[in-house]
Amino acid sequence: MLAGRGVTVFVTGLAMWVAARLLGSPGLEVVAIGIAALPLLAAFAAKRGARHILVRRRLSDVRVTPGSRVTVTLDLENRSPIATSFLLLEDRLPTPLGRAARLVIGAIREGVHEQASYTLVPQSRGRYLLGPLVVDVSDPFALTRLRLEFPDRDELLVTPEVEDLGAAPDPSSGPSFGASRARQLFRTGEEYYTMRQYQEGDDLRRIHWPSVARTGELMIRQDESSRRASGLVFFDTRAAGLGRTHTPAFERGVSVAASVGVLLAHHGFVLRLGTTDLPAAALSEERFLDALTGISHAEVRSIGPALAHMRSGSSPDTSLVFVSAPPVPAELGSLIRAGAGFGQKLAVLIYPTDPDRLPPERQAQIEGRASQARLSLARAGWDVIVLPPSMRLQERWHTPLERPLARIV
Amino acid sequence: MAHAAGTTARTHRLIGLFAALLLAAATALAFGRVFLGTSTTMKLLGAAIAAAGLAVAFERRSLLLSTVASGIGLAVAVGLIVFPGSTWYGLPTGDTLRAALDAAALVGEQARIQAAPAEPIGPLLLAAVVSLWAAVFSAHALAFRAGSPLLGLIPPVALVAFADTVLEEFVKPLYGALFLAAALLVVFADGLARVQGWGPVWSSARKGVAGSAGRGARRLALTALGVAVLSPIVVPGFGSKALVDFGTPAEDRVAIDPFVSVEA
Repeated sequence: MLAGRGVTVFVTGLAMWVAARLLGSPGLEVVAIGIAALPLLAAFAAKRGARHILVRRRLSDVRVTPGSRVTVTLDLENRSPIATSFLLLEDRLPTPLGRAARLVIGAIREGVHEQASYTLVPQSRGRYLLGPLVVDVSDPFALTRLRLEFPDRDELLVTPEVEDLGAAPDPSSGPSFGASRARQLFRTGEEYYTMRQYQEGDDLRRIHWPSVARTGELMIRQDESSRRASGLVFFDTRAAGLGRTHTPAFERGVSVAASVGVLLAHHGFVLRLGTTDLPAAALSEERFLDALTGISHAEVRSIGPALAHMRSGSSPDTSLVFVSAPPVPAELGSLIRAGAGFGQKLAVLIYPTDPDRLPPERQAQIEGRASQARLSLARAGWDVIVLPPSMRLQERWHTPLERPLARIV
Repeated sequence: MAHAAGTTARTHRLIGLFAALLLAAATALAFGRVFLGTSTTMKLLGAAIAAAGLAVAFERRSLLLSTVASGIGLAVAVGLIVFPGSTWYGLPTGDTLRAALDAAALVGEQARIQAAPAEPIGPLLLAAVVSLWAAVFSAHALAFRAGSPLLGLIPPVALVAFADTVLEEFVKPLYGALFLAAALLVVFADGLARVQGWGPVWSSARKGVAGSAGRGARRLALTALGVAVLSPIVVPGFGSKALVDFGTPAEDRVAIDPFVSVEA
């Protein structure tokens, strides 16, 4: 109850009182009694004031992107019969969000609400639990500490960084290659798909008169927009590939998966997310981002089982986005086989480490592996983007030189 | 909604200044009782306030500069209060220094032969001014520079206790109460600084956190003062004789020699 300082004051008062008795100094005795009494009175007042204090935490936004500012408001209410003195608040935060937030609230009169706030700027994705909140009720002389703990915790979701891939390209990188890439990937909307017999209820404007003339039956054209295409984003979470959670390459991979996934969702695709250790499942855009928010690396060494599972769910009207480190030659074959059943295929290969920072032999090795993977995948009909972890996907998304081989073969 | 309202440095300095001045004044008034007449007490009060003012004025400077300034102030105070005739327009001269050295040599002897309350003769007044000045300066340094308010109270409280022990007068808790008020203000100023070190301060009070905390502090301080002032009634043996007699000269005390030779 008494803080260390309060105990010191009390003991000093007692020592003064003993000295006053020894010396026969009534003045000193008065001082001693007053000083010794002060911490006891302060403790009594603090205890009365701390009887009914309510605290509630509110977040300005529970889902934010990295770098956004979140305001955390603390609502305090004093339901005690007397005014409180100082309230020393400590809202404990997860380590990535920084040190615990500390605030001091001045006196709150009885029955009065007060608000105080602090801001957070989360820099990395994740699910963060804010709290618990600890309130130390003190007195005006700061001699007492009466600790109240409020165990309520609030979740803050910091979703991965989502790049706007639909934005206009940088003029320096060509006028419209980004749109072209999007068309490649989303070659479904408003495009001819098949011809079928007219059924009651079909739009008469879609009757294809040349086919009617040829077959003698009412035929209509069905384009892909009437079917709901799906997009599978597969993220290779192996620690042996892109590294462990929160390493630059892994986080770049999460951001790439999120950016492409959001783009697919915005184009009307049914979105599915698969990882090395989780089978592909259909998700809404929000749940997709939530899943990526909490994603972490997997310790499995082989990607084979995951690719086999992915292959079993393939279909021609499903676009595949494969996010991984440049695969080793032994894995290329199974990757190409797994992707064979999909429609459009995009591989985003991220170097585990920036090649420029590697020794020459290691740099040559990793770049050679990426080149080989690009060549093999492009020959199999894949679109390939290779990124160092420090580069944003947007910078390569609009670059036409990314798939020179695909255009040749 | 509350707003960030930490006590400004100016407010905090004002609280510190007021606490230092009150402590100096309480010490001077309590200690001045050892001299006959109120004019000497007033002179000591002036010296104490000057010492506190100088200490606060140099609070943000280095301790060395502050000590030098305080030393110069002490020399001026000694010249003006103890040896006014030796100064040149209030400034100490060589004569002042010589007079002070001569008086210092006689302090011990005069302390032995004079009974309190004493005439404000040179050697005793010199000792009083120097001790009071040093007590006030060190109290400020310990309480506000070093952040140890309780340690800071020791030098001035020693002077208060000294006055009590040498005076054979009716118990007057007034001086003790005044000193206690000053001591509580010192503890409050330090507590305010410590609380503000915890984190940003929020308050909806118009006068800021010092104002709102001040209200609570006043209540607590008045209660503590009330308890202290009423203590003569409730505390048994209040104002009784010293348990240890420091006043009697050593040669007059009754002593037992452990090396007693018991012979027939």
